[in-house]
Amino acid sequence: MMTVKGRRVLLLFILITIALFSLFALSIGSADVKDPWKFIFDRSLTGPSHDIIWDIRYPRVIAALLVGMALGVAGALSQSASNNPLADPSIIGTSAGASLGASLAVVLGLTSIGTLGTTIAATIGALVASLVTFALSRSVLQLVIVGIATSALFTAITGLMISMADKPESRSISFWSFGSLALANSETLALLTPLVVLTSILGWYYSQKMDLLVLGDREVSHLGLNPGRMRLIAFILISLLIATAVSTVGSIAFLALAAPHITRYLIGPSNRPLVIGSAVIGAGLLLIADTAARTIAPPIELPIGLITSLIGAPILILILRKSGEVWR
Amino acid sequence: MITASHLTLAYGDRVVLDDFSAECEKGSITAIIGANGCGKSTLLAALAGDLHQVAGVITIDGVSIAELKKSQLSALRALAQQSHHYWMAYTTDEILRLGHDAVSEERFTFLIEKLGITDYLDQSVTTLSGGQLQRIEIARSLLRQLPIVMLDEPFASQDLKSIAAITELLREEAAAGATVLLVAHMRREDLSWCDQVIELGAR
Repeated sequence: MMTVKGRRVLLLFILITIALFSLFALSIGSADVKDPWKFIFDRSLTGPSHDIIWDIRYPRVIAALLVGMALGVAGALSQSASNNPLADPSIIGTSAGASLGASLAVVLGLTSIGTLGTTIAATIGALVASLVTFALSRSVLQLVIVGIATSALFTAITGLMISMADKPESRSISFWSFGSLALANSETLALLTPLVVLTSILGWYYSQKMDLLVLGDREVSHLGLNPGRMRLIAFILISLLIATAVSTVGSIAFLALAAPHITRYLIGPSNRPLVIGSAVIGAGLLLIADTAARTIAPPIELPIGLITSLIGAPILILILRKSGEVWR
Repeated sequence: MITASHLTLAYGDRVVLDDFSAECEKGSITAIIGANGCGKSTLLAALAGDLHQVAGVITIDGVSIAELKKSQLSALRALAQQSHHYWMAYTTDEILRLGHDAVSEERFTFLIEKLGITDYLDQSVTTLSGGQLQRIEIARSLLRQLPIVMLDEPFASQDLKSIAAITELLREEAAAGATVLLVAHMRREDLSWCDQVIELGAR
């Protein structure tokens, strides 16, 4: 495994790369901005170029980083909590639950997209779905199977609701199926930033204790601890992260599975470094994916979920092949 | 001292052990033997407080384990499971240290040397053999130096050298006052180094 110093150097390198890429992402887009670098480095300049870069692209870049971070941390926590390398929040039902919760709140007219109300509804949905999966599975293998079933059930209910809803509502809900950062604005950031940052810090803090879960529930309980309670706390944090991400930008596939695997390959499975690494890798991957989604075929926006899979899947397969016969 | 009085254990409707009684003195080694499926591991799980008995009482130093809290039990006994499969590539060193913050370096070094773990201390647990993993379990059960040590088939995947090392270690632990209980797939005559051998009848 990599030394602490090695991890820090790698992390710093990736962070600098992400910072540089963020500037690059501000400079490109479907709208033709003349001399973008001038407006990026001098925020006091005014005009349409300033507005495009700072009012449209900037919130989107930050939202991509925050949502990527939330997905990375949620993925790391859910794999550790369930002691299962396949337990990504979309497999254990958390994402489907969040979508259902948010959709239900919108259809019932309780709240509108991008508000705290939607996030609360999504959190409740996410928590209910993950707890259903958790309560009904008796082994790590069952967790995946029950999770897929829960996911299918919640997705079906959401689908039925969309089909039966009035048109404007169904249109706003259908954006969840592929996920998009197109609606991100300064209001989105005001909600996203504190929720994602605070929950991620709590997740990081708690994750050290969750290292024990690798020993199996019996050993954890022999150490005088309650593995069920540890998992419940983890699922609450995961649900909050996923709900925040889903309620603001919709479902984004694959990232929560890929980010922790890539991180584990680079720095090992110990939870605290894993959570930090997954946050950084998740943020970087989503930023690249979103930048690609909006610049490959302008003015058309490609669904970001497809790009995350296109980028993440080959990296994941390559890593698993390189790491030999073991799950890292 | 651990006592089991008129213990009946069952999985659902299937009775695994019926009206079983035994005593294990402090500082002694007790081996539980018997055919496959006779309830050896089930008995060990009940004595460890992992199973609720259908009938009977288990006590540690006169206190029923049903009355002990999880945290109280955790300070009394450790259990080495037969095998544990790891999905995540933690190193042997990381696995041994999990939950053992209070263990001294001296104790840690003593055990990994005695059990021949030093060579694979930095290796990922996902790459180890069954015997190597089992020795990690045994080391984990002994690290905290608790009054009761339980081991489920500690010799199952071990070579002769490791069996000798584990045997010697368990005798030292018992001599230092630990009550050792182990489940073994061995003949009674190979367990002459134990103070008591309990043979469970096959059902």
